[in-house]
Amino acid sequence: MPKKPTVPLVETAGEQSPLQIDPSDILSGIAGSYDKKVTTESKKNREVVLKMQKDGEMGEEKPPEDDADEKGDGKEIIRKRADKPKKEEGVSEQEERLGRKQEKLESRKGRGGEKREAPIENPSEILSKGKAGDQTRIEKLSPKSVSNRQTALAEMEKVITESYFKTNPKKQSFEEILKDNLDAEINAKVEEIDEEKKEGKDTVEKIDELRDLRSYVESYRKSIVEKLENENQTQRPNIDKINELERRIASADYRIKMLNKAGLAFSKPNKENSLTDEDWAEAKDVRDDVRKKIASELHELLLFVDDHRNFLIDQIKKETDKSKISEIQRKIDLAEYRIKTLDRARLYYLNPETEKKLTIMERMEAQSVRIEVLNRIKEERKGNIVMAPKRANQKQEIPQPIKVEKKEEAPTKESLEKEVALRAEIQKIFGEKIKEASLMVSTSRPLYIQQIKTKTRHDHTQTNRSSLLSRLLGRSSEKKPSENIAKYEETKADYESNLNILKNILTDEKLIGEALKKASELGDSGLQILEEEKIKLQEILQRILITEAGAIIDAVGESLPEKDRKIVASLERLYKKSKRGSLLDLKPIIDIDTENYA
Amino acid sequence: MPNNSSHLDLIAEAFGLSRLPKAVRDSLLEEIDAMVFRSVLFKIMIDFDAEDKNELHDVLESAGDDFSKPYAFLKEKVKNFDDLIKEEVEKVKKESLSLTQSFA
Repeated sequence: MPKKPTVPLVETAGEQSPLQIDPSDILSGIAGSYDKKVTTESKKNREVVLKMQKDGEMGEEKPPEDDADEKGDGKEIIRKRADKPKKEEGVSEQEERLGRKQEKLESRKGRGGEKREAPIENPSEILSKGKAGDQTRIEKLSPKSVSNRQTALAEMEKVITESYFKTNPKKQSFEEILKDNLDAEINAKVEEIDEEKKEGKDTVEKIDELRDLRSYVESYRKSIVEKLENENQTQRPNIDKINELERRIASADYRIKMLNKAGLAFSKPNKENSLTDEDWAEAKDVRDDVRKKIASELHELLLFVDDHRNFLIDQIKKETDKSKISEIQRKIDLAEYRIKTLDRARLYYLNPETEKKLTIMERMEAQSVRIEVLNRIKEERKGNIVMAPKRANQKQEIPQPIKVEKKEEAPTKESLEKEVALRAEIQKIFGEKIKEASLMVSTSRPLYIQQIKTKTRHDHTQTNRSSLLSRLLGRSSEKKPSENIAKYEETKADYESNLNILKNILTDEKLIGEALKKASELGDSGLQILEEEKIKLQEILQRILITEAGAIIDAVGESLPEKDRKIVASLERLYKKSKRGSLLDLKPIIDIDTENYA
Repeated sequence: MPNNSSHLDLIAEAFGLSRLPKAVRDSLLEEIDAMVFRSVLFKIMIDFDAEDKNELHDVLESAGDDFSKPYAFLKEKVKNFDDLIKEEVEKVKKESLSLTQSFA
């Protein structure tokens, strides 16, 4: 959709007039009694300029009301103006304006650091010094002589035209050259920004991935350290076992170091943090290895849950008590759901390049099951609970769910009370963290929104054709784009970092562990309650995040002119009334989208 | 707002809302729908020139309560309209609904 910007010659109050005028015509238009020597074309153009002057579009003052009789006679107006005292001999306001444009262009060239061929000589310089052509020809003439002035103007036009077309074989107008140069510069910048954005997106994904892998290795290290401590506390510690555990800890430390190093290379790219090819290869090896280990662990967990499910199925077949059948069925359903989740996660880690990426919800579920199963294994080892017997030969194929008819059971008063208390505990565990993280998000939001507004205004300026000339005329006081972008990216990173803390609450191992501990007091029904509470918390988080996104989008809107905002508001009203029931023609898009994200 | 259940199911799935209770899901969908649409319109207004805006204004004036007219105008003027919507959906999802974002 974006249109290629074109440059209007004249900027009026918010409107654009894409008129292209040759500088020689502008000169002839201000030159008083030059009409005898003008060419047909320049005469035609001069009429356009005169019309614009009459309409006030050129920024010139309109003739007073009592001169109404002379309005139709452009020559008379020009003569009157020619008689007015000039600021500088031979230099009119329009010539000065052209000079300012050129100076602005020159200063932009200097700032941009890009070498460009000067498209044209500065018209002011040409007029005052004859820099581009024959200087002596102008100096010889007396400015007071009318006839000489006519000749001088004709000479000036000739000098400018010759000089102008000498460096301009395409015979483009001044504005066309200006436009081409600006277009090229703007397009280059847009490409640069697009590239940066693209890189930024990939970077965020990579950083997230590395952080998750590191988190996994840290969790693994912690479990090994616990084992080591336990071993050391035994009466007769096994030296070989201790050595092996220490080796694993050292290996985990190395992996954490490599993942950290790779993370730094992405998040704070500079010379110090840059990785060598060898570093990269090692970091990738660590990543691939960790992925395989995660997949392997998930598979083990899956088989573990499947064993438990088979055990429950055997139990339900033998059971005759209706209330117990209902309870067992509930456990079977939960086990099947967990098998499905673990398998999905396992497949992803086995083939991360080809499998659909895991959603946060899936991740959360897999993580939750992992922690719970590991806790149950610990409890089993301590002898606190008895788990289902492990199968003799673990199957490699994925177990298929077996459906058993559900039978409902009325809850007792006591179980209801326990459930209410547990829900309150779970809400408290997560609720406090959500509140804390929300506060951090709302604190960093205003600065980010401010930067969004600045950036949007800048983007709008780049797109808006009339703004190009206003920049040349020095009306823009905005910072250089690169500075704006850097500041924008900085505040965005800060804001997103806080937002990520909020998003990650439901996957926080410590919190989940704490909640699981509470839930396990009620056995499997407690775990079911935990699942339900997590869904409720997800809704709360979704609403907070939607509110955040809405604030960010509205910040873009606030940067637009009021007229634009009114149009948007009208369209929104109509859209609501239309009750189309879908996001325009979103279906084919969502179809594609779900392939990648669902 | 939701009339077309298949569309909404797809959006809900894309935004990871499938597991939420229906009432909650519908409410969130409505908010997301309005948000994405607003974001698309802002983007269009940034890219439109004065002439396009004036035309759109005129179309709105004459449309009354008929959304199909401005909608047809937008579809005609914005050549890659579907791409733009897709882009904005992505943006909104990335900025807000990252509970469904991939993590590894």
